Amino acid sequence: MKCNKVMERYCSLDAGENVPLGVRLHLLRCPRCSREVQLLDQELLRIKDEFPFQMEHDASDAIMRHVYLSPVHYSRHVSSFKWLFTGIILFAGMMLLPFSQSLSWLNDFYGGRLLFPLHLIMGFLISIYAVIMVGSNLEELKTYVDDKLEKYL
Amino acid sequence: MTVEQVTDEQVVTRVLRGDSESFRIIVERYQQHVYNIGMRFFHREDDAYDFVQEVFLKVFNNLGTYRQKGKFRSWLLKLAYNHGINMIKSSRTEPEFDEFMKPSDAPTPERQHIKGEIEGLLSKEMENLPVKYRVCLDLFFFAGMSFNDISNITDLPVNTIKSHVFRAKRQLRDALRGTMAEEYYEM
Repeated sequence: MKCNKVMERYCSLDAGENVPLGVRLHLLRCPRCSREVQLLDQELLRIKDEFPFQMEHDASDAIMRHVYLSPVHYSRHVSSFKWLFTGIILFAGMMLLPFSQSLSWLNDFYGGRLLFPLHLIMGFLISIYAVIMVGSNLEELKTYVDDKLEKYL
Repeated sequence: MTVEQVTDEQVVTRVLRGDSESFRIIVERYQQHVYNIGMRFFHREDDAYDFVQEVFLKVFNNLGTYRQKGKFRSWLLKLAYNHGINMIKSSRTEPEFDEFMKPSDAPTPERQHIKGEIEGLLSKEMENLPVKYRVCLDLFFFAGMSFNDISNITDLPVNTIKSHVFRAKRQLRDALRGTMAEEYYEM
């Protein structure tokens, strides 16, 4: 390849694109093109992140003030599917517990005394699940109830 | 993990989980990029600062619509670019949108901000271009973005962007040849 063609090819490269083999081989042999490429790369690297218009003051505080005043608020949201899935697993686990071998073994060992605390624990778990679910979906639940009430009243 | 090591996408996830203060990282990383786009569009510092605030507020409010498939930087800059175009279109006091497509005859603020000879050459090359192509050159030379990313942001064809970048690089190359000639002369 001729020098001019090599330089044209080099100038047409995208940001971060690999230099083609033909161009590389030419650069190894030609000190003038090699120097030209070196200077061009140096300049391109130097001007990177040096925007033509430099901000005179940081705008982040002003922007963050607007952000805090924004009506949009984000929060960790668990999808309805995940809530439903967890609920089903919990419920199915409790329903299937009387059929498990572990329970029958515990029953043999402790007798009827085990049933009362076991029911207490299950009730506690269900309550915890319900409280967390309602608590984290309070806004949606409130809107849903308000809509229903408006419909009936 | 330091602030520099956290990716944009990780910051977005944090913000979406309710940590609004993390949004400051995004602002600090990209305010200069957005300001630059604002200056290209409006040529006035006050307007560019207002533009920066509006864009970041819009980014925050629309963060829920960002799908983490593409780069966040491209999404943000596309939003800024489109906001700039919409503002130009809707503003009665600013030049008409068709004017925006033509090279500007007004004394360009680039000239006042030239820091070096090479930036001067780039600015000279940019002066002959319509404003929207100047943004492309900024994104390529100063933000280090690829042709495809710039095309995604501006909706301009890759080949058009490529040819403008090529011309600007050739200008630089010609200027550097002069520097090289001086080097040889000094030797």
